[in-house]
Amino acid sequence: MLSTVISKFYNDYLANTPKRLKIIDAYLTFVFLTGVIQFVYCCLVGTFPFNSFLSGFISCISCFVLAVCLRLQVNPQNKMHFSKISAERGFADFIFAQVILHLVVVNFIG
Amino acid sequence: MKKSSSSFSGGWKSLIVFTVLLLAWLCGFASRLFAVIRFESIIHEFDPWFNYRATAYMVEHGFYNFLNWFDERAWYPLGRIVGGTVYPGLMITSGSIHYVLHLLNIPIHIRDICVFLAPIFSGLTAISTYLLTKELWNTGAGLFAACFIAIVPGYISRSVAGSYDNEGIAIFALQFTYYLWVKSVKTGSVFWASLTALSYFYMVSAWGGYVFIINLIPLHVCTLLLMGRYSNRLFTSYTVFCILGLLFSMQIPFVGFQPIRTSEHMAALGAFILILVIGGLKHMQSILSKAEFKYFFIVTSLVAAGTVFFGVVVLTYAGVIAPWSGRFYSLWDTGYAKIHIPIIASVSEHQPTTWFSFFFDLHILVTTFPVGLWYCIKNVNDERVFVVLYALSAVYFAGVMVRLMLTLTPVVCILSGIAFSRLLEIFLKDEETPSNGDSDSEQETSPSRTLYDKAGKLRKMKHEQIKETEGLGANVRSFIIVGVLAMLLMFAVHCTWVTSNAYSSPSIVLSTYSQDGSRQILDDFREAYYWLSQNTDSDARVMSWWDYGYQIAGMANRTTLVDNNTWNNSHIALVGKAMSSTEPKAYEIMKSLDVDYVLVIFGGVIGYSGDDINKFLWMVRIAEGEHPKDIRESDYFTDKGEFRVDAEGSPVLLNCLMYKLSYYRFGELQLDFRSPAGYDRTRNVVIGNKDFDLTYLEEAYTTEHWLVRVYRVKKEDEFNRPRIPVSKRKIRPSDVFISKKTSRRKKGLIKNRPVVVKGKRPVKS
Amino acid sequence: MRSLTLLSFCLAVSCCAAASNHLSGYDRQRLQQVIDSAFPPKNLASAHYGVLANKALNHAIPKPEDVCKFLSSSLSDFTNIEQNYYVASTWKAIGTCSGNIDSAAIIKSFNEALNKATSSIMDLYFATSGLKALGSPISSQTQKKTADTLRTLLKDDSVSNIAHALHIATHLGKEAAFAFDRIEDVLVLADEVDGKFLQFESGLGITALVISGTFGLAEELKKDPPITPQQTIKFANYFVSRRTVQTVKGAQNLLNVLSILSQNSFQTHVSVSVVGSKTVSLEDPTISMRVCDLLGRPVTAQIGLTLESFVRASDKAQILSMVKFEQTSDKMVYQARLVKPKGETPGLYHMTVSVTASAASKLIGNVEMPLDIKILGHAVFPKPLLIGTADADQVTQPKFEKLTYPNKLGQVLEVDSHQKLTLRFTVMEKVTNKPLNVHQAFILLTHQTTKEEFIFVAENADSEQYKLDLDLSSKSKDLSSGTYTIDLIIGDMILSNSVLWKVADVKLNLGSAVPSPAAPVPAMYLPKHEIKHLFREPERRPPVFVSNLFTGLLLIPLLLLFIMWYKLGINLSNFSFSLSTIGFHLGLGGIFCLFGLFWLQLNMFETLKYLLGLGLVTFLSGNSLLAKLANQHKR
Repeated sequence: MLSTVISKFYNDYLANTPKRLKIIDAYLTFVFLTGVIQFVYCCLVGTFPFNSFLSGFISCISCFVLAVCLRLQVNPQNKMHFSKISAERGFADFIFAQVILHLVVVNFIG
Repeated sequence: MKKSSSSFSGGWKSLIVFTVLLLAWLCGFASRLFAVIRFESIIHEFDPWFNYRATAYMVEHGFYNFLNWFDERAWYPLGRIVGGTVYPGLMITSGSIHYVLHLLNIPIHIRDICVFLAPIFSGLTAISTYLLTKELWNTGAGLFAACFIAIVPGYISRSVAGSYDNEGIAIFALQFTYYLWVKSVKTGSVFWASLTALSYFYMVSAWGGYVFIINLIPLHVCTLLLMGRYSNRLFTSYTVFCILGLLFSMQIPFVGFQPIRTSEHMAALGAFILILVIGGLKHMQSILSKAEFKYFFIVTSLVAAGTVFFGVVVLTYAGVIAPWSGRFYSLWDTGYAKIHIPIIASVSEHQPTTWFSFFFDLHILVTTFPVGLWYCIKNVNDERVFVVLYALSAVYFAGVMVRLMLTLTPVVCILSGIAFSRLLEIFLKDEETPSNGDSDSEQETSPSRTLYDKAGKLRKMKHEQIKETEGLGANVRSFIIVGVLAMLLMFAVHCTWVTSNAYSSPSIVLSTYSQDGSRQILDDFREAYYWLSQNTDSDARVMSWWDYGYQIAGMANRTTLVDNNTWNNSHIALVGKAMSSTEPKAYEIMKSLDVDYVLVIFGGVIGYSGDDINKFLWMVRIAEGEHPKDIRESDYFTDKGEFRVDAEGSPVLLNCLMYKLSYYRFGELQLDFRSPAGYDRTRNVVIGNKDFDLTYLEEAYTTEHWLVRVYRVKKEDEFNRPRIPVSKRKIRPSDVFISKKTSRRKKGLIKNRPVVVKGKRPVKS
Repeated sequence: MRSLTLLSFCLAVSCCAAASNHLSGYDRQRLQQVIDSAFPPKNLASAHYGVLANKALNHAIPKPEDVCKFLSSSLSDFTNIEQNYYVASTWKAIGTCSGNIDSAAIIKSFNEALNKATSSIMDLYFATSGLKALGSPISSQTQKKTADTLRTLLKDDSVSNIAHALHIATHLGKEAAFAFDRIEDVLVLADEVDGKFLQFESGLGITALVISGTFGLAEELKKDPPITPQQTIKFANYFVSRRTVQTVKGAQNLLNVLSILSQNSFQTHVSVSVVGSKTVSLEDPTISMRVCDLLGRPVTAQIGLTLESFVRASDKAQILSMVKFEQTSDKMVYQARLVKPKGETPGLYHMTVSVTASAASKLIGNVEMPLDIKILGHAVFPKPLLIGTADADQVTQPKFEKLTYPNKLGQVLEVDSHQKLTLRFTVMEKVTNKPLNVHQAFILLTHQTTKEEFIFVAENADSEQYKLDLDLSSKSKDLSSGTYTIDLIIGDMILSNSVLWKVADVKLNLGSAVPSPAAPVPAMYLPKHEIKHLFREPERRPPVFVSNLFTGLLLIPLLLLFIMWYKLGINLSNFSFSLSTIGFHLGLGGIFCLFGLFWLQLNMFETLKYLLGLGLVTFLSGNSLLAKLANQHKR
């Protein structure tokens, strides 16, 4: 049952998703994996420079969240939810958020 | 306000809005200047003195040195890490204003910036309130709200000129954050959410009340979720705000890792995870079929529930998540503080609020704000849910603590603005005639009324205008309009009166009215602090109750033992124990703490009620909390359970250090012919213990009205030593010769001075 | 030898009876050190005084040839009277100088000075003394002239003027007898200090000059000097008190004047003092006295020393009277036996001693001296000491153990709080065999572990027996339980043997716990322990390898990202090289580089400043770029 669900899901995805979203999804995967690796590291070794760990990990979460938001805003299916926000506007917001996020991350990383 | 925009050109409308806001700003600024005009440009009260001192330090030494500042002049002998224990937003704000002004070659002293910071920010608060209300309702309500917040006493109490405190800028940050939040929920834009996080960051840097935001917004989100109002906009705005806000708030050294460690912040993280899960589920729902989704939902929810449960158990065991802090508990259980944390309960602004003070601080708004609330509930949408939650929680907290009245005030203004706007809309705009402009022009008058308290003419003119436009039911309408306007007028008058009488005293300089109505300034505090700064060693240590710690540090620049930053309860308890012990025992404590001077506030001569004797029971309670063996509160009461300082008072009280220091030589003083000697005007009794002498201390200075009394602690070799029990005597021959000649007696003395008889020439006849 | 009763003076006892009324050998040694500092000679005056002082001490002059050479070389200007005097007198004083000096020229210069009416008193002083030293007589004409000059000069009657005038007058014979009348005038100008000393204000030099001049002139004129013995003694006291003088001139003056006082034809100053201790006993029955002059030399005149009286202080009984002291081998020391062979009652005695001499010389000084002498006794315990315990209620007679001096009781006594500890003992004097009433009779209890000491006074119950009843029930507050050592302490100033007798050990049971030995008292004046700050230990870091491994691992997702993007086929064709595009991408890149720098070196404020500029550029270009893109899409 589970495998069928997954395979259906996957095929559906390949068929119906625009390329833009796929690019964003790839980015999401990257961020997700990075976060997982950091988490594994912290489980194995510990979180000693706690601020460094936090800044890295939260940076991953934030990037993920921001990318998800961008994906939502870019997705044509959600057009009615974000009436005022075009894809470009979404991207500009994304860039802005990234800039201030990483300013703080760098400040926090120590 | 779409209707009005149809009749008014956009230019006119924005001009009116601009004018009203400007007037509100000016009027708010002006009404906060009572203290400066009556007294002088001076920092008020207690905490502001520390903020001022810290700001001055930051301006002088730079921001990074400020963050690393270890203040060895406070909490002697412990010292205080100032950089890590303050919210630096206030200092940074005024520091950057100072910096910018100096870049522009405007030489202004940092003290003046500090004094006028709060009034200036009150204008900004008015604007952000306008923006928030506009987002919630419409421009008219926004203007009403802006005008209300500009003059409402509940907010003025914390933002008069000279009251240089965190709250002054924090309310602005609070309102602005809420505005941005509402804006971002409305649009779902990442940009606005990021701005919300930035504004939240400013709030975190400014005031500990940021916890209110970080709990209210998740509450809003959860409520929306429960109401089935999930949307992708909510998802984007909340996730972005939450994760950025989390990261930003940890940049403040004082907050540190608290946002992921303490229970107060867990609600935000919980809501974050919740909305992520729901977002994921919704996404799946959009992709998968119903049956598949059901299966998927069950599996996921089981896994999620298991994970969350397991996680919480593990984290609690590991002690990663700290339990709720004491101050937080006192919010839920009003009796908690009194039992467990007397130091919190001892502050008057932590007491539960009385009905009287609701009315005193808010006046007519108390009654109109439920109306606004009702409108919001009736016409509910995403952001109005927010304001409803804001109102309900703020009302609760304001009821618990007087101090939190401050958070209630803005939302009351918003909702009252809505209520008034709606009221006028109904009663002025139902006609098809150009009356719909009147709601705007009416708002125009309200700020001008607040500016000129007795501007009767303007009001009448409008009143006539309104009458003209009325048709049917005109009487009813006009009565209501007149009634509403009269109420608003009374509100403005009340605000001015309260501001001028209750909230404009610097509490460092007191004033009294003599019988012929002239005002007398009692400047005893500054007199005493100036004396300390001029006549004592620069490293002298001054013991006083913690209320005066910041003032001594700020004005006299002397080392203090405890101050208003009450971070170390046991140290305060030690000072309290010294104050409530007998003189010899107190001397032991003072000796161990290296005290050089003791400062007490005594109001018995002028009838000042906030003196140390009236606070004394709190000292006893706090001391009892740490030293239950030595100090018992019941000892200080009479048999009947009264606290009195006259002859019937308990002997323990009449012999404790605080009593002696307050009333030393007071028994000889006859204030006027009608009252006997030693008559205490504050407590209206003749004191019980008049004839006593101090062995271990000596009076160093007493100010003109006896308000501040400073005593010097004698060194061990100065007083007539008490008998030391035989077992404790230590007589050791010393190998070291110590000259008895001090700097005072440099002249030596010849012991058997020879007697010289001078030879004389025989007188020649 | 005719014994004469002496000039008996009533002297202030304490001042003159002190042992320090003459120069001791040690003082002479010290003066010698001072004098030695003048050699080799550096200037004429110190050489002069050094040589004279050495002569006065009968001490050889070190390397006299060098001094002679120095003298002859420094003789240059014959008109300088002072110089001439120093050279001439020193030359003569050394006496053994080979070579010659032009003494004729010097004498001539001296005579010229004397004949000149305008000479100063110092010139006259040096000239007359110089002529005297050279042995050249002064002609009577010159004497007359000088005397006239002196008379005019004496109108200024300052002390120093008169002092010098006295010396000048000594050499002028009868002509200057008028100076003798001035002696009295000058002596009354002396200051009296504490009734003991007489001195002139300007110090040792002038005082010595006045006294030596007085006696010199008196000698010359054969008249008794108008100075009373009291005055002389006080002056002498002053001089002796200045024995610590540090200059060569002062030393010479001191020695000179002391020798004049010790040896002149009018008053001979003697000093009498006790040698050794002022106690006698049966074992050591004699007392020794020293008689000497001020310089600590034997008195030249024939003298005798008599014990006038020896009286017991307690009952004024006269024990001895008019006993002659016998001279011992040391000529200055005299001895007399004070204690009879069968012994004497111990106690305090008063003794008076007087010095007698031949009629020719008048002895002054402490010639009749009262002294307090102690005769010591010896304490013995003829009867055994009794120690025992009894019940405190006094019903039972105590059970005593007997103990003889100096034995210690064999067993340990046990006493509890209801009992009392009792001691009885008798102290006798050995010689007289009478019970002694001593000044101190104590019982000392020392706790053996804590070393606490408790002292009790033994009472003299009847005339014979001492006793101590220690009621422990009343003492239980002060005393703690445990084993104590009991010591008996006997002491008195008239006892030659003080007694500390370890009597017994006693164990007290007072109900209280036996205290542990007292902790050593912390030192009060030692430096306190250094406080070492304990820093928080740095947390354990993972090995570098692990960290690097994970850093590497983080690159994998990045690679994956690029692979996926590549697979998806990123469309870069849309990329146009307009200003806004480049500005946007460069700006973005710049911002992230800036963040890197921020991480590495910049501080926050600098970063924000740069970020503002970069952000503005990026915003403007990004805005136009995205607007363009949006327009494209719409189309």
